Amino acid sequence: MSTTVTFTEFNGASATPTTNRTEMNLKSIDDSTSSYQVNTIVANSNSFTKYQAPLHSGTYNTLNGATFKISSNTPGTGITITGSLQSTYVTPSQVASGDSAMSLVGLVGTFRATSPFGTGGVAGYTAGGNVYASALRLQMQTTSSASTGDTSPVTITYMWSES
Amino acid sequence: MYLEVEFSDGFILNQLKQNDISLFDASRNTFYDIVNKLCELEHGKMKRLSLFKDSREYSIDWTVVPSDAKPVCLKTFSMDINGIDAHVKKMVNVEFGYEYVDVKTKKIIRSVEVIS
Repeated sequence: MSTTVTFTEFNGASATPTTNRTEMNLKSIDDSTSSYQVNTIVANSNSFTKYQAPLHSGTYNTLNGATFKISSNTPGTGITITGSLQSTYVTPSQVASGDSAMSLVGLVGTFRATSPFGTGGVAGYTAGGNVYASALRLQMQTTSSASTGDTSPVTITYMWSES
Repeated sequence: MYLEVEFSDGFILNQLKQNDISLFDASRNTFYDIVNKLCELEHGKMKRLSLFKDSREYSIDWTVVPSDAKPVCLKTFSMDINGIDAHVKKMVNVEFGYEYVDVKTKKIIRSVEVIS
């Protein structure tokens, strides 16, 4: 009695989509398949930026309130997770994204049909059919004091309302 | 959780029995039919709007609400993208009731119950 939500990741220069992503590990490579354990982030460098967007399918009347938050944006000494909602795709890189620390209380996005990127996003979507919410861009940024090994796990949560 | 509506000719529209697909537009849900009053042409005015959740029934006598009232059934969900509960959809709450425009103040009056 509600929409089905899956997450699509976008990689490469042409924003190649990979559907049904089930993790959002930040690593030193721009892909959706490699293990973060063999693509580690060296202290004083950054992960590649990572773009993922929710895709709603199924029947509904309205969708609104697309909101993203993180359980902790400092998962270790010298480590910050930055985040923003993007309607423009920029090829992922390890250059600092310029985003602020990912919000603990929530970034509110919009909905767009066919792609999360482009113009015309709306806060409340009523057209029906499959629709993307905003793409979340995350990056792990580290300083020289970053601790080694896995960080403390953090959880990224997507919230929305529908009728 | 599901909705049910009874109309004046006795017809009952049940969200579960319709598999939450509109009778008029297969890309829409049952609530689309309800909020747009699409069944009233054939079945008359709505008499009752009910929400069934966790073995409880929340019902509104639709014959006594303002004539221009619109049903409200707004569900808020939360889903972790990663972690041990990744992709488990959790309903935070549902706002159930109705809203209408007050003729004097022109403001939207919202009469809803927030059900967790």
